[in-house]
Amino acid sequence: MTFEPQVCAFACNWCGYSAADQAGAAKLEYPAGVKIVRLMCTGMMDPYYVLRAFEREFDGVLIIGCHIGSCHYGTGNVQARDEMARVSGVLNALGLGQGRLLVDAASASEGPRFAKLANEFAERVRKLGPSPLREVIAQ
Amino acid sequence: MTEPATKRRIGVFICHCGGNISDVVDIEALRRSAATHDDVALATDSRFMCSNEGQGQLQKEIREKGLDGVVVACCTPKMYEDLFREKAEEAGMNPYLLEIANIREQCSYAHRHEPAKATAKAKLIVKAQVEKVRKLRPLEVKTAPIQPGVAVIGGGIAGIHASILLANLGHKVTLIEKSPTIGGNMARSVKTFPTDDCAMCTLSPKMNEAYNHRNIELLTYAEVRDAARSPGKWTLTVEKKPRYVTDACIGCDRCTERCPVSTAKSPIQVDSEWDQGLAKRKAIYIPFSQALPQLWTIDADHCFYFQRNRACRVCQMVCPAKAIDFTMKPETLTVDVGAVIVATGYKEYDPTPLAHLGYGRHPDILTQMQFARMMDAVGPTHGEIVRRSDGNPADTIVMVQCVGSRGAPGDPNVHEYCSRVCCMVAVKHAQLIKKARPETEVYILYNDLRAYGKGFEEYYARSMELGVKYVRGLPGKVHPHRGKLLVDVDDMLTGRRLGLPADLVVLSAALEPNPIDGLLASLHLDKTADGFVKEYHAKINPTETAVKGVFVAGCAQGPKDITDTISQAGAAAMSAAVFLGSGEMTLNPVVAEVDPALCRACDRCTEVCGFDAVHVDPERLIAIVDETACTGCGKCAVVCPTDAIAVRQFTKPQIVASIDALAPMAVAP
Amino acid sequence: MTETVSLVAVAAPSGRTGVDPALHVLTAEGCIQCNKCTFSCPVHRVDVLFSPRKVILQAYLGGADDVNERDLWACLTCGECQAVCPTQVPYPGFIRAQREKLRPGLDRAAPCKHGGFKDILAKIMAKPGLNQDRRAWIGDGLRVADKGDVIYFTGCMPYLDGIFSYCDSAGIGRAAIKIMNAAGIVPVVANAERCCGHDALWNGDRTTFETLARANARWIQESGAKRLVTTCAECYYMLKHEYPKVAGDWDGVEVLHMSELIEGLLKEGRLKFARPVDLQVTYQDPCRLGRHSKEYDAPREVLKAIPGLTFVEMDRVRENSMCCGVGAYSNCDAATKFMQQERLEEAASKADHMVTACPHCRIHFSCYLDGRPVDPLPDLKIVDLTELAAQALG
Repeated sequence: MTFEPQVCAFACNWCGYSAADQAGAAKLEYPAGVKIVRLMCTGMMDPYYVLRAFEREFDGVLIIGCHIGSCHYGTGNVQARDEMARVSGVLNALGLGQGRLLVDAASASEGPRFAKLANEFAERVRKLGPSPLREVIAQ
Repeated sequence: MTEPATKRRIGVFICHCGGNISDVVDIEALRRSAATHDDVALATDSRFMCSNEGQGQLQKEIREKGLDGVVVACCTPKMYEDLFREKAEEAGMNPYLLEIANIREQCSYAHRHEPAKATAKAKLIVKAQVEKVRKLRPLEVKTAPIQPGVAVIGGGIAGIHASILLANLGHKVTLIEKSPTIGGNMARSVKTFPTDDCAMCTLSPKMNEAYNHRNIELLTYAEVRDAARSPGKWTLTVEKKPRYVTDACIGCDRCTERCPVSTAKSPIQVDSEWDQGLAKRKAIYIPFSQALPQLWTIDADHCFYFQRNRACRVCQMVCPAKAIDFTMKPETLTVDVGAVIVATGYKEYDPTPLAHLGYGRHPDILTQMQFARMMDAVGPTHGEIVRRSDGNPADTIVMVQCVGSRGAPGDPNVHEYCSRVCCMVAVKHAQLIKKARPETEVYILYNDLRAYGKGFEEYYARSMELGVKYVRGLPGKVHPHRGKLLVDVDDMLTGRRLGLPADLVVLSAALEPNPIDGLLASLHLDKTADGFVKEYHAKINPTETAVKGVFVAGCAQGPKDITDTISQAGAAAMSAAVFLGSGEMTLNPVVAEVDPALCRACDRCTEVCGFDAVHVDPERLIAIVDETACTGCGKCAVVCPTDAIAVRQFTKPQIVASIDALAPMAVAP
Repeated sequence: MTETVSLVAVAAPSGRTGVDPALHVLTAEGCIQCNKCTFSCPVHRVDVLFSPRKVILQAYLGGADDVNERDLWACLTCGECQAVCPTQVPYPGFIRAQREKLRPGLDRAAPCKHGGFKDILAKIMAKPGLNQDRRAWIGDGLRVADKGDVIYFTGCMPYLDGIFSYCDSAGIGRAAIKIMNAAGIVPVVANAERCCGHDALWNGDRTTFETLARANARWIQESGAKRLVTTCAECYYMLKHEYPKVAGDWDGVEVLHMSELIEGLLKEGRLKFARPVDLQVTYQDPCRLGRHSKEYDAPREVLKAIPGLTFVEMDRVRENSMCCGVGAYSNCDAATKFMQQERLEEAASKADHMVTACPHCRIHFSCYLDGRPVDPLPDLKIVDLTELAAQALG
């Protein structure tokens, strides 16, 4: 059986999550392994959530917020990028680097962009292989 | 935060969505899986949860089974979360104990060719929401009183228009203007495009209405020094500068006639702001004849009495009404309002740094605002368009567009943005010149001619009929040559190099925001990259700001013409009126909350808050959230070292519950 | 309300309380309810409702499993109570055991402050498939090896600066390697290393702790190294005193805190402090090095050996030293800032620098100084012992 990557995707209510909805409404498909957690703003992203997702054996973490300059709350997405840059250093040292964490943006009307990001990221993680933290490879 | 320890009774309602979900997801398998979770008392399904039947079923089960938590597995929460919460509340359950499991847009739609995977995923999505609901607490919707009253900062057309609308609605408005009179930039525009109406004639009735309105308190020659926010209220500290002229003034003008400042031999000279430096004014003056209030003002920075140790009292000696009072002092007032509108307008860019255009080095190189004064029949040249260097008529006038606008990114001397109105201002001035003196040659050197508004294209076309010449190219150099100003430009449409001998060169200088950094800091407002006030959202919300209760209107937010300014001012007035509404604001309970037992008063949350919504109480040493301002963005929760502050419904345990439920790892310890 | 409780009758160890009988809480000489513990407790000083004596009394009366959540987690496990207890009731151990017992049944997760960072880090490091890159912080000019006699055990240090940005924890590591290199030692810094499991153990997560302990013990033992050196007081305590309980006694491996290594190297003449360090300092005994491991002297010998240094003791030192206010990252709360204020003001009254021998003491005190809850702040800088010693190398 081919490995199907499990991705934890954090999406902000106003942009990323709505973009995911729009992708669905437009019947655009992406792998079922991409699981979406709704936040009000990517500014809510605590490094803990990224580490928890990896500890729970997700193979990759995707964060989709508003484009810089368009955050519904002003600069929440800027804080998100800063926090994720810090946790990237930790992930690299833990051997979970190589791009298993991605921060990107898709506005509410960019359903196709969400689908593209989800597909491309899932493919990238698939090529990287299962997370070294996986104790059981389940589908 | 404490989470409930008792066993819950959660109901899971799964929607078929008429096949949109059920054609892909195996509803029965999903239902059975949902029923196995801890604290789930009921798992049922319906063809359309959003129908009357579905809603009825929801309410019936809540009542009969005494549910204290609900998960509706259906379409995106963006559709019906509010509706289902309302229905739950009607049935007696706290609406904030209801979550939506998005198994349509983010499951059955996105994976419609993989039904087995979609079903497996739907099971996890429902589980994630059940786990989240288990950790939710009921939330109370509170209201807070809003202080009545609005402060409008800036007495130009935007501020005046917004003030009149609000005053007519019955609100008490305090209109605060820095200069001695209201009117702003529109008052000196002479004519307005595309109708060529007299600017002062259209503005004056509004100025009078604002001045006389019983609901508007006008504070002129006054500046906002500080703004302090408490829940539902803004307290502004306003400093009124002393005019040194009392209300007894009868407007006879004798003082101005006799004032020695700016006369030929006077060591103190001052340029007239009204005439944009094309003429001088006295130390005691009225800015223009229709100024409101109709009061003279002494400019203490340029008055012999104040600058030369009381050397001169001529005005006081000749005043028949004894209205001069040199002992007047600045007055500080406190103004309490519920809403603030920032309408501080624009100023013109100073083209001096653009050395190739020669501004400031030759009297015949002017900006459009200066040129406008020449067109005013009561202006410094009595409406004659002449060369300032020798007073002779100007036979050839060359206008240059985009001066200080549309520059290269990173160039410190010019702005990157387009100032929007300068094309039309140039067209306006050009065709006014042609109408007044048809033999004048008028050239407009442009990059793009932006005639975007109603009537603008027609106006531009008429200007061409009148003989205005448009050259596509911006000048490389403007330099004096044989008594004229030679303008070197490449005409890109004909491919020819032109040397235009101009009598006057008029630069269409950029619009810049007025310098209000101190005001922005006290109101906790940000600027966009172009330096103008940051609106809440450039597209969908251009009159609110990130700070609740503070609105922006007119050129303070970005360059625009009078029509758009009035539209925006109306919108800002409406937003402010809606905000002040019933005198009470309904508070969104999904905002941040501090657990006082955990707070270290370390200030990290206050530093990241973009809404001025959290402050450390210096006595209790605990952070306090202002629920009237908090938007629930959650930045504070990330930086808090002790998990003292968190956004309700999005606390760490609640989000972690969702992550864990969706994760590949088997049930965790 | 006073109740006379027949201590003799209930003093016999029994399963009724649910307390691990091995802790000997209820021996014949058990708690005499004298309250010295409560009055020495730093938490009690800022939260009068917190009392170790009351918790023990409740345990006597059969209510050990009913310890309320606040009492369970507010304890710093610093051991000040045990140090003054006439009958040596092991209160920190009791709390540790109760956390272990009650943790699975908690409605909400055991607290882990600063975003749960240390807790999740430890759990990730307990995963067998982990493949770390633990040397990126080392930098140029420092020599480390894959095999050797001396292992430098770094614990969580490669990860701390990612979250606790107001400290330079990796600087401690670089100073340690610099000192060892100067003495001719090229230490092993291994990617196989995991978190020592201190927080997991003290917060009741025995599974994670034992997984980490066994994994670490295995690779250390197999490496053939003779000495295991650490700059962290918590790792030191764990490696020396807790690991043998789980993985058996160390066979030919000596566990040393950096201060002990430096003291030894100075005595052997393999290390010289050539450059004066002109500071006035005081020393904070870390709970895990001091009270828990009884190592009070080696750090002091190191400080005394640094030329130019003026060393002034605080009033509460050695077994009476006051905890930095946070134990195992689980209890930092509103009361903590007052404990830290008290200790920092005491230090500031003696010196302008406070020397710590545990990176966590430094992080917690630095967090207080970074956060500015009071104005003015105590005029004090925090410096690590190893970094100070490296400065004196010249």
